[in-house]
Amino acid sequence: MDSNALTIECYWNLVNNINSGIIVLNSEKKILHWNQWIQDHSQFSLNTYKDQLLSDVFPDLKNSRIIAAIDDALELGLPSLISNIFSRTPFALYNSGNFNIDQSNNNRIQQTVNISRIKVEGEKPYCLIQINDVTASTVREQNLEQQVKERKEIESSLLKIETRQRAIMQSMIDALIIFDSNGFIDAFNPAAEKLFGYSENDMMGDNIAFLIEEFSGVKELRESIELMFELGIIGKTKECEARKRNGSHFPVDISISEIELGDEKFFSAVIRDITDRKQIDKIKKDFIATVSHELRTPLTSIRGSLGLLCGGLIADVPKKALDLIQIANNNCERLIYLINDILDIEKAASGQMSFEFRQFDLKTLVKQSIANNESYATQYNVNYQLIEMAKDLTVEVDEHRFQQIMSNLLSNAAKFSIAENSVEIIINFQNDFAEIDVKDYGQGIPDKFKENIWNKFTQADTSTTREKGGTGLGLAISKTLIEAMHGNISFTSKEGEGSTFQLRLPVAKNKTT
Amino acid sequence: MSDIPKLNELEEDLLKELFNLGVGKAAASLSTIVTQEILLSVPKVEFTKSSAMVDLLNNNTSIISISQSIHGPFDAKSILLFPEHGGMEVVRQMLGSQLSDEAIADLHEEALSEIGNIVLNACIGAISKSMNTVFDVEIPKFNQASPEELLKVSNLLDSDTILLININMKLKDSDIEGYLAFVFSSESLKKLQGSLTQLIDSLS
Repeated sequence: MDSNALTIECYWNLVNNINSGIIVLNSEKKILHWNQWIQDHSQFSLNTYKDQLLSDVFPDLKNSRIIAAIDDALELGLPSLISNIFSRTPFALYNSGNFNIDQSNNNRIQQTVNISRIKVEGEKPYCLIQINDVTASTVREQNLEQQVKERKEIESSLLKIETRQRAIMQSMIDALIIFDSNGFIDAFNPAAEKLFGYSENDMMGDNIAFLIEEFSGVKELRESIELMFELGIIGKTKECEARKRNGSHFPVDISISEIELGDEKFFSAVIRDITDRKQIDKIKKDFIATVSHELRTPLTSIRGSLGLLCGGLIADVPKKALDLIQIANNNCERLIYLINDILDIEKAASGQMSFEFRQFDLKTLVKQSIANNESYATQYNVNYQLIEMAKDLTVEVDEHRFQQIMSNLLSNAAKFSIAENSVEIIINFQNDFAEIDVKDYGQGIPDKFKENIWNKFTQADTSTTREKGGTGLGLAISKTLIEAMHGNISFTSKEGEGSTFQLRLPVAKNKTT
Repeated sequence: MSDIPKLNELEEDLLKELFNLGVGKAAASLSTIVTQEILLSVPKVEFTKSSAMVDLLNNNTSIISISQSIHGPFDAKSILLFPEHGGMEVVRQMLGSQLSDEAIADLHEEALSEIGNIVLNACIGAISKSMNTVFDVEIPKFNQASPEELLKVSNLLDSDTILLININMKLKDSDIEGYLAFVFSSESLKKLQGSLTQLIDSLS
């Protein structure tokens, strides 16, 4: 015997130690041998099952591919690979830990089976069945497959969202810039490219402060964003100065909103070039200022002349002619008021109105205004009644402008009162503010008109303009003026019962306790 | 091309019949394991040179091949060939289309090896049975290569003679064309013809 050849015993030892199942069948498909692995995974002892038909030991193999493959091997010498793909668990084999728990198909180990013929000279062929446990790699593959599937689903939905958002961004007419909380630009749409003259690639990762003057000079945009929050810029539209690639500056309307993406905060800025609008505004203002001024000069001399004629100081004017001159004089007055109002509005809008603040006793001021307007109220058969709820209030105002506001409120109240009624003027003190209520018992303000009341050229009904006179600018001017004097104006009104307009002014020195 | 054998009509019919038997059995086995109908047919059987086979496959970027060598009354190498796309499609159709491309790519080698094994075994088995002989059959080898590399990875020579059998595989949504090639050395080829003559004689 060759001393290098392994002994039969050594072979069996080897087979027993292999980490896969080995079954040897004789040509009649009866079990000749199996190794320890088979015993471990089936808990069948070889001694009990030796010489039995394989399909009797593993009954669910009957009519299976395994038996067909064994036939092929024994009869035709054909080897078969039976992977885990088409038949997962042909043999009733389990992990050693699973025997007492659940012997269902689900708990079997996943197998690949190789079946081949062993030819021994002079003997009938044997069949070798080799079984490998591939449970671990199968589970891994399935998990991977699951993960891949989930990832793909997420990717495809993200892609859809992104495509849609990109399409929106690309097609927007306004410039859109998305930046993070440090101001670094994350997206820059074609309209922005056109507006600023930079391409998206140029701007990616650059800071928005580079484009918007307002944001530069602040080291951390975070601070600047906080500031924007405080100033109420976030969510609102604000005018800013922007800078183009060629260095030129231009005015823009910018509205910033916050976008939260997971933990990260982003901001989107929609930017619109308002150069044209500014230009038109300026032309309009210049036009109004010029026209009003040019109109007022000749009107002043017309009024002077008519005044003299009306007073009868120049000559005796026949009664019929005097009536006509009176009409001309009244309408001349109205025209002057209108022009003055328009000039005031334009001055206020352009910030050219100057104020001369001084401290006054409020009661004295209000008494003065009542006196100024008394004769006007008499025309409407209305009288003013001062009610003093708080005493000795001092306010800091421009006297002339304050009287302008009071005149407006008092004349409105008289004008819209029902004859024989009073207009109450109530002075009060509330939360560090002096309050002046002007309360009439007139027709009230219709609900649908309330929200437009501060707009220019508005009266509830255009017909009342003719009936009651006035330019429709008074309240708009009053609001601008009182706000410039650090106060505010508000109203309450009920149709058919009357209206109350309230002025609130900070008290300079409050002697009441 | 004088060494390409000219089969007479009878021999050609017999060969075609043998392979029809084989792929018929293969189709039945495949249908059983995936529980869907799979039809295999053999429209054409011809002798050619391996270089001509490469020319035939040249318009594909990659060829999948599963080969099993057989030794016995004659020696040959049996190869099942699919263009890559067709091979993948076979796996997709047989495993169910809900699998991702990644999973198909992961599994295709193992799956096609098994499918090839079934088809080749069925054909070799049909020949063995009809010739009443037994071959020693090696286990299948999987290869994927460009048409130019195909001969090299399969250990073939330009001059080898090939019995080339067109296989048409019909799965539910697809019609996939593949080839079955039996490669012979000139010596083996003579033995094959001898075996065929013998078989015809025994049948007549």
